[in-house]
Amino acid sequence: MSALIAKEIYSFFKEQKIYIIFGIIMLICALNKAPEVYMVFIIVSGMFASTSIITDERSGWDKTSKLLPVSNAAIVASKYIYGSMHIILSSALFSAVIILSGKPKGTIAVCIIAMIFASLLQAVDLPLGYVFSSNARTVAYCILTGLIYGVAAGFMPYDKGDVLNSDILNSAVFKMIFSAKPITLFLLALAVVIILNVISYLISLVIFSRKEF
Amino acid sequence: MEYQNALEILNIEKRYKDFKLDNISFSLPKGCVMGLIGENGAGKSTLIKIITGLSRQSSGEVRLFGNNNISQEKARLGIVLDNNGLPLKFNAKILNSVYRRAYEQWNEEQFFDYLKRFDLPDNKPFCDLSRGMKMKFNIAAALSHNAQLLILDEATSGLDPIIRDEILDVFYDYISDGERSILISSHIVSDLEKICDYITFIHRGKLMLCDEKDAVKTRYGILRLSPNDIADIDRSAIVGIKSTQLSNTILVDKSRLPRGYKAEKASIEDIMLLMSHGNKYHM
Repeated sequence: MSALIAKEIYSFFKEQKIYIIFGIIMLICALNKAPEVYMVFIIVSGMFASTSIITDERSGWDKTSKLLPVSNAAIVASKYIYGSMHIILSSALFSAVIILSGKPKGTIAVCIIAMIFASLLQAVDLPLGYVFSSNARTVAYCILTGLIYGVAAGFMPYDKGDVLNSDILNSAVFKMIFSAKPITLFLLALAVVIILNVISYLISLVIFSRKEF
Repeated sequence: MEYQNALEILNIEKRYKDFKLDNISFSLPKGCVMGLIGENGAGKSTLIKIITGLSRQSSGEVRLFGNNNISQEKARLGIVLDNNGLPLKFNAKILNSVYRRAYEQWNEEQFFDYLKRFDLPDNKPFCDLSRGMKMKFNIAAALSHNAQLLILDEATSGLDPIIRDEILDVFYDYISDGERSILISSHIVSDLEKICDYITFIHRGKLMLCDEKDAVKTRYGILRLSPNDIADIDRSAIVGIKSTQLSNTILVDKSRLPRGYKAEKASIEDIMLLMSHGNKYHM
């Protein structure tokens, strides 16, 4: 599996360098009183794994990887690990920047919520990527991301002076969640992320194992 | 584990809506080269996909090195397909980094030696290479991890005659230890005649022929007869016939020819062409 993860990392730096520039711009925006943009960036990081499936299909690497001495389980797992690496790294990076910049504590929680949405996007999208070809998937993918962004919008904070506000985030349930320690929040989020992706992985594995080239 | 045959195909069937790979059985002995020939759409690539695990058979069994679990033997296979995809922005150095993690017996020095021999750049992205160059990359990779069985599907198509000849020499050297085997499919039948020990001919999903190359060339010959003369030939001797109003080119089983008839030598390509015509002729 290390070969496949290495391939994903090499592919990112060779083919998707633009996201690094995108991330730097987002960081600058996040530090300059536009906190909602970092949430977008974190959710977008949920797309990397499915983008990888598309590029593999178009280059023919999906077939080549099946010829390597690696199991179907490893091939599918490598996509989830790669995608999860992006989600966790972007969440951690933005959280660190926000802490260092002295932004309100609630924004860390928003990062965590964005991480969950990114994982949800990944968990739903990857099995779709294995079922449909890249072209057929496009319509379903647009609808899916629209839905997720639509729901995520309810969580987006708006700036009222220096106080972050959001209708959903101010609800009783979330006030209870946010009163917990950050580490508890983080572990809870991690558990949700893991469960979502494990279920999705098992579905993807069944689909991929039946696929013929 | 000791094995006699590198590859065994046992009653393989694969059914599609309008095509059927029908009850294919043959074996490739260890240390030998088998050429897989047939027209476009005959089922060669379908069979190779089944052998390599890219597709599943409807029935039958594939055994690699005596083992019917293909996924356990992938490390011992070197596979070059007609369109082995490589990430477009990768170059040979990056590919080497990936493959040395995938294959336990990956030989980095050997890989770059082959690249040098095939005159391939190690830092140019694959999207900038021609089809032939990409194919050479895949061949170099297939030869660089001590594969016991090379499976090559149209691997030399798209290569110029000079490099094709060199690559055939490389294949010949590769199996000289007697432990490695090659299954190669190609439309360039003359290439297969140079290198192969065995010939397997598939036509419209059916196995027409599987035998030692020399035995095939000894067994079959060509007669050219007018329509009037053909009646003197025992029907059972006629394997295939290509007929026009004026003459017939007949592929015959020399062992069944009546005395007095001397058949010309037939190349593998002649045998393939005439066998595919079948035993039917104009009166």
